[in-house]
Amino acid sequence: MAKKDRGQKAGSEPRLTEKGAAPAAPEMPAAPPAPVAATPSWQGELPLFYKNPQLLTAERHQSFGLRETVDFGFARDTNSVPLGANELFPAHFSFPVVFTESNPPLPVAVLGVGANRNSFVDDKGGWRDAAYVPAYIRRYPFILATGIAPGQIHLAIDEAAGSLTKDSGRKLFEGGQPSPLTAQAAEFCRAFQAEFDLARAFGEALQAANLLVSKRVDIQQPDGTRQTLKQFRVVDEARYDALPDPAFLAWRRRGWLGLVYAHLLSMRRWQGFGAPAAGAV
Amino acid sequence: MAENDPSASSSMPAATAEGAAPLPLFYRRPAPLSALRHFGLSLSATDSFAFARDANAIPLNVSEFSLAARHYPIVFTPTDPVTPVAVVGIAKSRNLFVDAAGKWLAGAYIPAYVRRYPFLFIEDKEKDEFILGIDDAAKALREEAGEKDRLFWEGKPTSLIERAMAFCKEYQSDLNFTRKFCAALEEDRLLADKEAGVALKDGKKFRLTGFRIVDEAKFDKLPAKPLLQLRRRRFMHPIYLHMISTANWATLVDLAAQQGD
Repeated sequence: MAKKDRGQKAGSEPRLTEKGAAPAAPEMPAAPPAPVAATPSWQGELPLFYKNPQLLTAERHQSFGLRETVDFGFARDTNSVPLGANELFPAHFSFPVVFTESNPPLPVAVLGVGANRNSFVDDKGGWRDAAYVPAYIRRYPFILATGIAPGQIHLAIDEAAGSLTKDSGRKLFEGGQPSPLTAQAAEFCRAFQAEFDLARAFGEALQAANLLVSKRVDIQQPDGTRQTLKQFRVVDEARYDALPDPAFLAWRRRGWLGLVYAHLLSMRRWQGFGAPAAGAV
Repeated sequence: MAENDPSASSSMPAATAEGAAPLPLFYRRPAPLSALRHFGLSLSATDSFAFARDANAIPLNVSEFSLAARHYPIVFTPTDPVTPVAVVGIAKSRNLFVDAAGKWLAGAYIPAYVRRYPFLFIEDKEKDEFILGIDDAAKALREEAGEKDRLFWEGKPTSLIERAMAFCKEYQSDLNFTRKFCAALEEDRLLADKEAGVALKDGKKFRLTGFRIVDEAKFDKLPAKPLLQLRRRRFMHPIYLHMISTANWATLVDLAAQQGD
């Protein structure tokens, strides 16, 4: 998804792991791993937010910790983040869920309609009201890396993260072993990856059934300025209603019908960004 | 609908649809509108929903599900006919969305049933038609001298009544669809009695009983034929909206905690 002003191509959506990577149990490298240059999945294209992801090792990160306080400032400059399949249900209460123009289309949470602007992060780095915080954001600064060794997934961390400290905070390693915090992060990343893969399968099915249509939204701010969000897609209700019965039944078995309805319901959340502009589609 | 004693069970309020034997929720003296009877009366424009402050569930039509699903658990009454309701409170006689001044919580959807008040359709069974009525007990109904807000002026219904008529007509049409929807859920035996255990932050426990929801296990097992029948009748969307809306029990608990109930 992109905004008019930024011209960000849909193709710049983060590729979180290599295509088709099955969610395997994350593995903590016991020995210092091969240099990171050994083709981790984000080579060439860093996922959103991550500036310097490095494989997490006891040797390298022994003295590192995470600050106790949570600061969402790192997410302030984005207007959308990818969602896992199971997140469409909590997400629709807080923001529109749309699909990227990429192939396959991925569900993303729309967090703002202004250029580089996340409406849910306040001046102090807090998350607005009781709005849902997407797992993609809660995961940061951790991430899974694939492509190090066949069939293996490693936990990595963004060394550029503001939440990372040296010799203070919640330790990443204790006595050379991953701390409970790190173990929890690994499990969280694995679970998110599994849901992300399901979301991609859902996006592929929407694409294959030709249910998605491109859309733009024009929002009138209280001060009169107009903001436009485009280069994203939504489910066309008429096409969804016309989905052949066998496909409909297959989607039901896969649990996709609920995802469609959560997406459609989330279209009610555009008004959270302001009133629809006059003459808008 | 709620009790502090978890071993006790209590039931939903009389959120009955009109036509049922007891008076519909909120209405105390509904009467057909007539130029004779309501000649000198005016209805002061107000945004007070104080009349709805004692309700903990409000009837909903299917057409409202997508708006209501943002804040309220949508459940079904165990009455005949089955009526979908928006649960607006967890304690008996306490609507968490209406404050002491009668204001509805900003940003939360106000059900059509509430916005329609004090008007309603009264069924004339002999003639098989509906006539517009009003609750003579409504607080907003007053004797006024001027033309402003009058129900009748110079013997003729004013635009206020025309608007109420249009609103009630649409409401009735939505209600008819809603009844068909509920009848289909009954026919497929998809509704199950349900209770929700809710714990507030201060440890106070509520057990909510006396309502029904779509049994997800039964719904998942519904054979293709009746399922596709539901789809053709455009009932799938509301079924899912209902199921999605049950996440709002947490919203109610948060509101109750904030308001110190």
